[in-house]
Amino acid sequence: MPGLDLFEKLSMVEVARVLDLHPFELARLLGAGPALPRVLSFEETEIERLRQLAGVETWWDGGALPEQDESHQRSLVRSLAHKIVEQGLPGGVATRADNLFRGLDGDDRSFVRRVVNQLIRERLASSSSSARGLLFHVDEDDGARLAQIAKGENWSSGLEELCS
Amino acid sequence: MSEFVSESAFEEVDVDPASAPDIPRMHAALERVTSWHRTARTDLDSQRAELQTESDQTDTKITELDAALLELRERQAELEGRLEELDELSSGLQSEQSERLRMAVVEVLRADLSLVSRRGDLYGEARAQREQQLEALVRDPEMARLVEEYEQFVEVEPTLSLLPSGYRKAILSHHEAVRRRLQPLFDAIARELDPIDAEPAAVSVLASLAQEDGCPVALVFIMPVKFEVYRDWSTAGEDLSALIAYRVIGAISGALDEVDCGDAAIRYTDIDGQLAMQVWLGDSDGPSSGLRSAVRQRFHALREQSSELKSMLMTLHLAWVEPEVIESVDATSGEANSAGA
Repeated sequence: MPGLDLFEKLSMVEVARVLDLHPFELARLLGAGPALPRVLSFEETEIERLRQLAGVETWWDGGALPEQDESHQRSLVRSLAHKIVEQGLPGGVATRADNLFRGLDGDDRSFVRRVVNQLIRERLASSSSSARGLLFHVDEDDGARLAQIAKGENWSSGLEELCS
Repeated sequence: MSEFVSESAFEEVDVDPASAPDIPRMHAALERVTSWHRTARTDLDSQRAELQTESDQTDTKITELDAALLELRERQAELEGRLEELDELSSGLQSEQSERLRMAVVEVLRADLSLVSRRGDLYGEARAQREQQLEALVRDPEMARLVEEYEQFVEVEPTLSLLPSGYRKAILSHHEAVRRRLQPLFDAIARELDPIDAEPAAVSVLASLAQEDGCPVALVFIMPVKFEVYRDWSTAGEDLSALIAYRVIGAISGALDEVDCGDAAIRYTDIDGQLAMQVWLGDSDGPSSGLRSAVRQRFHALREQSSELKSMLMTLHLAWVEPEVIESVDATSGEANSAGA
């Protein structure tokens, strides 16, 4: 209805869309934290608070990739490793696993998701469940190797295969 | 010499030494032995007769007991046969009970799902009605003008800081006046839906807690909403079913947090077409206190704190069952899928 949109609060689905989360994740977070409101709608001004509560970060903003290589996929792998190191994950706090591909769309998103899984398979990272969803951890000892991957060095056959 | 060892030889001696002092000492000695033997023989015969009598009586008793034992064995065999029959009947009864329980649970789950769907239609109508009321409110020319002014303010608000202080204050003051006059609209938007004209309805969330060695390892909840609420959230819109799912998830999440299991892994699955929430506690140190009690309390609070449930005159209840019941319902789902495939 023209005119009323401005005054209407946001639904759970709308907030989830803005945050790029599943609304069930939002329900879980609110249930574990401040409790779900009596009416399930939110002011736009609450979104930032919910973003912080969920630990949502957008790692890919559509700008130029920080690392460039001969193929787009290799660039994505190197850029992901770059971002993991740059965000201080090795030895630092964990981040939501979906932060690692948030901001990407379509094939790029699927590809980076596969790369994240490959890093976990190669034990360069690990995952754990939490009220905020799946978390992604990197040991301090693996920081140097990830920095090498960001430079295009010391790639495993698994990573090479993903890009082939 | 040999004739004296024979009993018949003794019997031939018949001498009274007193009346015949001249009887040789040999005869007297033989007589004494003969007399001793007679006495001893009599004694032994007597004992033997007693023992024989007792032996005969014992034989008789054994015969009687053998007969009784045989009778008892036959009875025992008969009883064992009856017991086997009863065991078979008991096993059949248990299986029958499980099947009846599964059918009852599936039937109620489907009925609750249908009830939520019907209330969902009423919820949609109530929301549409509220939208119409709001539309009518903003169709009022004065209200429409205020809404337009409000929208214009929101558009220019980011640039207000560029204006001289006097202009800025004047605009803000005017905006505040507009906002106050729009209060009826804000109130109408914020007002909760009125309770519908229908009978109160209660639906159940089926719950089970699996334990290993007395420690909780997993929880499963089957909600009275379709699995599509989870799978198709981005396209299906947000109806009453979705709101119920959020409430249930929020309640369970709060309970898990309360017992220090807030980080438990959660999965959403399809059980017989309905949304199920699986909570894996196996990786945690286990709940710090009563998990079931915490979930129960959160559900109790949920009934009071949900606007949409209040307006739809609905209450959500927990129904705890053994994990095997959930497994049997899930098996129903599998069978239905196989049949459908």
